[in-house]
Amino acid sequence: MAFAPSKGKKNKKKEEAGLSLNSMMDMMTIILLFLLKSMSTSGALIRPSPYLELPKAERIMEPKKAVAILITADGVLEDMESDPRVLSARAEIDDPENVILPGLEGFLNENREFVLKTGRPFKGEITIQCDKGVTYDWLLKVINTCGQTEFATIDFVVIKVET
Amino acid sequence: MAFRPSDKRTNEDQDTEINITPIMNLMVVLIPLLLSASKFTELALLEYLPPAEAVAAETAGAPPSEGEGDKIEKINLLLNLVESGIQVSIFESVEEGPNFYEIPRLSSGNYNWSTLKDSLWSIKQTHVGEPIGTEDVTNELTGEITQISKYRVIDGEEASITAVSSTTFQTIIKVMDTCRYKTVGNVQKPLFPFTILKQFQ
Repeated sequence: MAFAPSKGKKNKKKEEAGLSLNSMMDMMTIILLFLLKSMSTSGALIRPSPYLELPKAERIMEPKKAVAILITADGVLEDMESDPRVLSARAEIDDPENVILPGLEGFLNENREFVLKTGRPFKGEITIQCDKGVTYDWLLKVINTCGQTEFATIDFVVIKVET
Repeated sequence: MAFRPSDKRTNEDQDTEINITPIMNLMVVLIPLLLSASKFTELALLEYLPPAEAVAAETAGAPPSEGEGDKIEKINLLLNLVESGIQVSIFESVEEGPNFYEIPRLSSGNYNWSTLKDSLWSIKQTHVGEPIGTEDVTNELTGEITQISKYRVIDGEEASITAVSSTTFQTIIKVMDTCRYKTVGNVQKPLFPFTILKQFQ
């Protein structure tokens, strides 16, 4: 036989349990303000390529838009969001005869001529995203090719670290 | 004497709450949007001027000024990254001594960056000194005018870097970073911010 409910419990009124959104609102406001503060427009100009790992450096120069290339373990590539075009393959860079890389040279010449045709001033700026493991001889060949094609200001993309 | 409230006023004050559900909906949309757009690794640029441009920047622009004739000395600072450490050479010296020495690697195998920075600071203090003035340099391509410091030696802000071919890009960036500034107290003092990458001899 079941016990009879106590009289006190029997007379207890059921209260409605409401969800308080106030604390949730406070939290959301704080997160929103934090995200708004940390957001900047300059980061959208350059996106780190998924095809390489960037080095770290203590620099404060802001990114800017220019002709962009990637130097990865597979060679020199055009900086594109997906499926980047190979400008100079490994074999071409490793060839000791190639002080200037023909593929990259052609690409940079095309870019320069395009800018000159449109009547805009040619600034000779190039942005390079280079994998941190790329060797010095590869780097020198790319720099030589850039210099040869009048791209005289080279900006290396790095991950900024606090000093 | 104050009026007595009328007997008809019997309705009680009701608690009115703001409806925050629409604001919550807005927040729920905004936060994922901002999270996807925000960047957590901050990118920056490290500017490099190839040798021809660096030399042009050095010589172009400013007309000869007072004391120009005295600027005949060149320091020719060269940092050579080899397997055993970093060779530091000034005045094109190749004989071991105060003008040519090697900073060996640390026991961990890494290059000794702090000793290199101290060494560069010492060279800057001893052989370059404080700036004796400024000069305007015009970039021929962009037409931009930049002001650079003038020292009693022509290449007072310049360092050449060579490395064995297997040296990684991260190491090169680290050398370039080390050559730029030294923090003295709370002030960043320039060392040799214009670096030139050269072929290993």
